[in-house]
Amino acid sequence: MSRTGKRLAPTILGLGILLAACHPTGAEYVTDLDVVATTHDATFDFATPTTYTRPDRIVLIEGDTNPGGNPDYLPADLTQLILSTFDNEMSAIGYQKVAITASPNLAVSIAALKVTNVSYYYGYWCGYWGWYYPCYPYYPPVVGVSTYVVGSLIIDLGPYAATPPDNTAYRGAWTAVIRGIQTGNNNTDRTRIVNGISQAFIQSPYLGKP
Amino acid sequence: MSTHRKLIPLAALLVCLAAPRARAELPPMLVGASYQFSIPIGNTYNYTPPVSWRGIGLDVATFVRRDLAVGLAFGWNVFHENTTSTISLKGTDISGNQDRTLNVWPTLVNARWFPKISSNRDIQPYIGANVGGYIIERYLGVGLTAAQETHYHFGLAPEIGCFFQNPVGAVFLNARYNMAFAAGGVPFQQFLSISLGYAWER
Repeated sequence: MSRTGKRLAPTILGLGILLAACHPTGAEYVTDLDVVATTHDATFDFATPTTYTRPDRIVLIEGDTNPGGNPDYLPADLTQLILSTFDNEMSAIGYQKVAITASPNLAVSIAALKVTNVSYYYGYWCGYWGWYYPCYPYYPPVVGVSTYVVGSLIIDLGPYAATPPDNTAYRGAWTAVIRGIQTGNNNTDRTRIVNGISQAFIQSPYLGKP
Repeated sequence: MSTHRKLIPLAALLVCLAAPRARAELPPMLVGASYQFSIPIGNTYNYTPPVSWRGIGLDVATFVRRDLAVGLAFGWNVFHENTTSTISLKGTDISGNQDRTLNVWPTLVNARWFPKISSNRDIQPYIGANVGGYIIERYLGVGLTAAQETHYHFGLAPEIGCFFQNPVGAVFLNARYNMAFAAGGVPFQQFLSISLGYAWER
């Protein structure tokens, strides 16, 4: 190799590897992790229904804290925010909220899912002879634990039936899952909830009147 | 006849003497390192629209004739897009912060033809053809979820370029149209890579 080649080759290769390796990946802010997913029954005619009904409370699914007892519900202020945002979006696309006694065309159920993820590591010690013998845990044990909470809002919409189906399987027409509504910061979470519900409707243009 | 008998061994001797000289005149093996930027096209553009400014290449070539070289070409091109657009996967529409990355590693064999355009060959254009495989790693991250798949794609790549020679090596500039055929559910990928590099003799 010539002297110039020897000098330039590492520079070119180093620059290339640096450029290739430095691309941004991963989330920088907690809101980067927010996801809205929607799916629908393509055979369902969303243009025909005009009315819908929904419960006034939102069930919170967070493990079975009270077996056999009543389910947990979201706090009233959060419930109010979610339901009013949802009602506004439904009204904007032509659906009118009515009482369940008024034989609505659509029924809506809304639930919140709160999952606490726990990850931990256990410290091990491998000495010089770790090549030949297994590693041993530290004594006293060193354990690291980290947890994070993921909150999701699940909205189901389907045709209203006065009596439950025989097989108890209710066929929905539209489902939205809004993940990322639980950071511990109320102001941030409220904004994320409103944005998430709005996004669910934005990405579902088949809903409502044509 | 006697003249022929004398000339034939003489010609054979000349050929034998000239042959090493002819071989010596062939340029030796070339090694080239380059920086590459790439313009995505077609399905590659649909997945990661921005121009890729991250890429490197390594070329090795040897001349089998004065105007014909064969060689190997390796590279690494990174396409990346961060978007919040909505995607549809298996009937579900998903929106959120998305990281889309394509890592492409071309592994190609090639032939390059160097037409003679001047006596000193200081500026030497060429055309070439590459064939081989592209290792393509496709990554999609949405929120807390990520999926990654890697496949080996058969591919072709016509190439045009030019060497600007100096006493110790050559600067080269080329354009290669990379076409990696569909594999493993990943559709046909295309991109145009522009390389600027330096080649030296070994």
